[in-house]
Amino acid sequence: MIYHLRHLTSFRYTHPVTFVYNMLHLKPRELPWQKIKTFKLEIEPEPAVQTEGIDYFGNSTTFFMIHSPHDAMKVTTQSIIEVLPRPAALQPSIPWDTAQHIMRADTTANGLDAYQYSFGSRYAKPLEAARAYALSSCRPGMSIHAVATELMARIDTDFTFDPKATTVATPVTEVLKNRRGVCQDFAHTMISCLRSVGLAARYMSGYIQTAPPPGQARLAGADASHAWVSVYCPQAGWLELDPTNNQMADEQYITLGWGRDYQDVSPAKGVLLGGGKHTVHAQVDMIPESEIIQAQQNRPQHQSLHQQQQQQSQYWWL
Amino acid sequence: MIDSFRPLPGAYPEMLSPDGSIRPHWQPMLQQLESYGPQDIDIRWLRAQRMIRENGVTYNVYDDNKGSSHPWMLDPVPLMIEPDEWDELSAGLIQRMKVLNLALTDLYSHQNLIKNNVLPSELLFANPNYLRPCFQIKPPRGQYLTLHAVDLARTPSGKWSVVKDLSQTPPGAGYALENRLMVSRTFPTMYRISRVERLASFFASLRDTLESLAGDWTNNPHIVVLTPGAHSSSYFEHAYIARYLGFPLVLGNDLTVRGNEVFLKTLAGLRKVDVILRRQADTLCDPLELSGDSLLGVPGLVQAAIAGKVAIANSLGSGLAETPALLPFFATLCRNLTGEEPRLQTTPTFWCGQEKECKQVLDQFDQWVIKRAFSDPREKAVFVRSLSPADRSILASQIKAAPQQYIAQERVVLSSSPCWQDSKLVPRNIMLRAFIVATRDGWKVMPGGLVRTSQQADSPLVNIEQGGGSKDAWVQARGVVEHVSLLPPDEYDIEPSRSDTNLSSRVADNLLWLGRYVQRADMDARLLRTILRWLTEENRPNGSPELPELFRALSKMTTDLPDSLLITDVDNQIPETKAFLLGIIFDPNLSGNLHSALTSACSIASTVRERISIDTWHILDRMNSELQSASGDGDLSDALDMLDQLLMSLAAFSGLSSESMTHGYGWRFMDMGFRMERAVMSAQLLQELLIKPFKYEAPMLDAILEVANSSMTYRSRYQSRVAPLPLLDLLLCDESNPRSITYQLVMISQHIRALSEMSGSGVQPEQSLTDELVQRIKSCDLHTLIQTDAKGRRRLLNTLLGDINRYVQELSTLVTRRYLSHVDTTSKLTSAFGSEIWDGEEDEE
Repeated sequence: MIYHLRHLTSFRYTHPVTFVYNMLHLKPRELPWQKIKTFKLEIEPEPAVQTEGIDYFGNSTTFFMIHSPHDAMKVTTQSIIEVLPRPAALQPSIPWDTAQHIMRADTTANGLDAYQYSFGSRYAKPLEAARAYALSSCRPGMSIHAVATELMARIDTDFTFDPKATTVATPVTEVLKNRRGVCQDFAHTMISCLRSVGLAARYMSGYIQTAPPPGQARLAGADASHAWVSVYCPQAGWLELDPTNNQMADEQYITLGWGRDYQDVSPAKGVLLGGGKHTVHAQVDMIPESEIIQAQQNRPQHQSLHQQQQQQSQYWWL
Repeated sequence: MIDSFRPLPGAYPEMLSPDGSIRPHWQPMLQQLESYGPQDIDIRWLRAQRMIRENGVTYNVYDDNKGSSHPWMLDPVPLMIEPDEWDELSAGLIQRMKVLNLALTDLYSHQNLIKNNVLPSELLFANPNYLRPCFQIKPPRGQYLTLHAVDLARTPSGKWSVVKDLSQTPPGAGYALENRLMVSRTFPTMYRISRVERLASFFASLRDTLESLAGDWTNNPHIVVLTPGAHSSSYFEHAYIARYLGFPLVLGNDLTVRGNEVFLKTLAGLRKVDVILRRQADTLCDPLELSGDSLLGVPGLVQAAIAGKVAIANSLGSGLAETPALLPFFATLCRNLTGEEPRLQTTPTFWCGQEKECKQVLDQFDQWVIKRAFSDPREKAVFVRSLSPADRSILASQIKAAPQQYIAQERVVLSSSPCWQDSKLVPRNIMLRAFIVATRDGWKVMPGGLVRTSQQADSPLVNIEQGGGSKDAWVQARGVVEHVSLLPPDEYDIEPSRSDTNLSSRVADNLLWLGRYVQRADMDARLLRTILRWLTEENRPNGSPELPELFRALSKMTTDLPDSLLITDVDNQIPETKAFLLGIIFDPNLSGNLHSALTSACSIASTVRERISIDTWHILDRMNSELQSASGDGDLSDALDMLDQLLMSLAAFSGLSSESMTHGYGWRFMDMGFRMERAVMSAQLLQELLIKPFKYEAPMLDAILEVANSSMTYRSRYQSRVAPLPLLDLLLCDESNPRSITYQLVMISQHIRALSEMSGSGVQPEQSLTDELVQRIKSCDLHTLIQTDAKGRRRLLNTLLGDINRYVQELSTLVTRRYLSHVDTTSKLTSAFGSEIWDGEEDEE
């Protein structure tokens, strides 16, 4: 599947900002099943310094600074990406209760890289409550695959999607208690559960394509940044599960990158001087190439789509 | 004195040989000590302790809610160390630093130590000191550690043993230096006779090393000392080291990263920084990449370090080397990385993250000291033996639940050394903190160190935070003692004005406010003294109408109490009057009173310690203690005494600052603050007391002259009773009276001109503003000004004084905006998640 991806993040401040230091994780990661055909990043106002890099986890980063006073900032990425089916595991997944032992003994570069994700990080620590929640899906001899899939399904059933319930800093303990949140909270909760029973799990940052209701046109900006979980099955590889939608990640998912938790790969984090209060708005369009071709043949639909986008933009930028 | 001394049983006696005789290397020092005699020692030491307090040598204690600082505890009897033993110890320390530096190099790159199973990977992955963003930093010369410190204990067998490494911001070297100065000054003969290795050469090496770190790109590096601020536990030391080495002391806010280079914000603009000696923890250095919620530090510092445009000592991420859980692996690391056997033993330590070791710890739980595996300075060591059975089992279950988080260290019986207490020598447990610097041509150990002592004889704890003390360590010199000193003389103050433009904006801002608060305290005290004199005078006529007016003015100019609380009838409200006045002097809960002006002055002064001469500091300290020691429930005459003392100190402060501070930009900012405050308060005083005159105005005019310290000038000029017109001439217009408002404005105008010459930006709005105001006062007709209108008010004068007040406030804002605007607030930016999460205010469009 080929996608045309556009991700706009806009920041507005009540008072002028004199300096911004920003670290972006917004360039999709090149993977065997994910080819980046084109990628373009635009930042307004123009940064004084912009440095591309690769972080500790292998993700692309952009560090930039803006030194001139401004009261709004816009970060836009546009890319064309081909997503292929993820390769099937070469080996069946091993029982969950033997994983830790096996990971510990593996000091190859790959093994070490995977093992580090079984340790607590700032937003996804092993917790007593998470362990208790996880253990009812951990029966002796069950494969990691089975444990993680069951856990994912339970989170999907037990937790309610509620954007008002949490913020970026809500800890897992609270999410576990209130059982409400967004994809990021569910991912952190599931990672915390997996780590609590000795498994390695990482936080996946990216996008998911939403299907428009049957018979209706795709709405601009309706797609979203997304977060899901990847769990390590020694000898078999990584298994990507999405607790928000109770499904395995497939060609509908574009991967930006991964880390131990949100903090390692948040799309944009920064420090600014001045600015008073700020508001943030993000808008993602993830359009399959086939629909764009169709739209070009069907001009009125394209027009309305275009208008809608314009309106949205004006809404945020005037 | 010495004969009655008994060492602690079981501990290695530092001073005595096994046969009970005094070890030879202790003898010269002890003989001299004995010849001083207990009385002389006590007298000298009292003097030294006063010096310590007055110099503001403090240690801020973490657990103290008030965040108050404790005076530094120093013992006069040094620990003596023999040269041969010191050489052996030094070799071990150097090897240790070398090994840890190699370990950091590996762990922050190839990680062969993990891949080859030399270290368990958990030690890294579970370790919060392992900072992934630092992976890409390649420090100059591969030197992660520039300065390292090691805590050593001497076991009963006489061998030194490492208890702890301090690699992140090795604290204590400055205290060691201060200890040395105190003891050598107080007992100069004893110091000379003992032939002690000097410490200064160590600091010279440290300075040279820091300079050489930027060798790749400059021969003339700009070096700063980065401190977390006046509230950090060893802020005194940060300021002290900065002053001793001659580098500016800066806060994270003073630095800024532009284009991957680090700059210091100075009055003259941005100045590139090449080397940072940092005294704050890794995680507080860069809010963008190294910490989750703190805003301390310099955003972008990690990127600047990666770009290789700044050298940071010690390198970011070096906290990893002081991880207590590394201790058990040191011998293995040493063999693996250098092929050598460790020369210095490490106190037997087990990391509970290893199954077998953890079991062993829990099996013989009693014998261990339990500590956190991944160091937290606030965590205390727990002696299992001293726990109740219940607490013991709680601790055991905590360890079982998170074994990786704990280490168990064998309980060391610390050696004992004599301390001076109650006029005699008593034994105390001691530990030695040694310091090593990695110079360009090899490693150098500080010949001496910081000795920490236990509070009680039987206490196994030596911890400054828990009431322990410190002492100096004297390493006997073999040959001729080298003389090196980097310490500038006490009068040293602000650098010559040519380089004074390096003054950081924050320091300039603080100096400005120091000037303002000192002057505010001065005016408050003068007004209070005038009132108290009137009240306590015998021949004061009853019911004098001036007093309530003076009270009202006093309240207006200080705490601004509601009218209902003001005293209207002094003779029938005696207790109320007293309470009112003492409150304005002493009450720590009232804002705007004398107490608050003085405490603000002292607390601001403490943030610019390195810019204030020691004598000036002594004066501030004395003022503060005068205020604190005088109780708020005494007599009015006691308060009057106190005010007299205080005014003398304040006069000494202004005298000293104008005489001993270089008249560079720092001084100009302080004096400008001083002048602004005096202009504002004088205008206020005249407004309160001259606008609505009584029929018989003379007593009020007398009061004004007294507060404005101009009675003498007036009398010598006019030799007649006081009248409003000449008074106004003297206090408003007279350019030659240092108390007049015009004089203040002229001085401010000079300062502003000097500052604008520095920035080379021509005439600026604040300049014209001041000149305009001076012209306006000059062109006033004083006869018209003192005319009263139909309501009996001097309306024109009121308008003029009000304008002066407003103009000066505006001036203050303009100056702040032009020179000090770098002082800005920082906040964090987070991207929204999903498409519609709000961070901050709701959008109203």
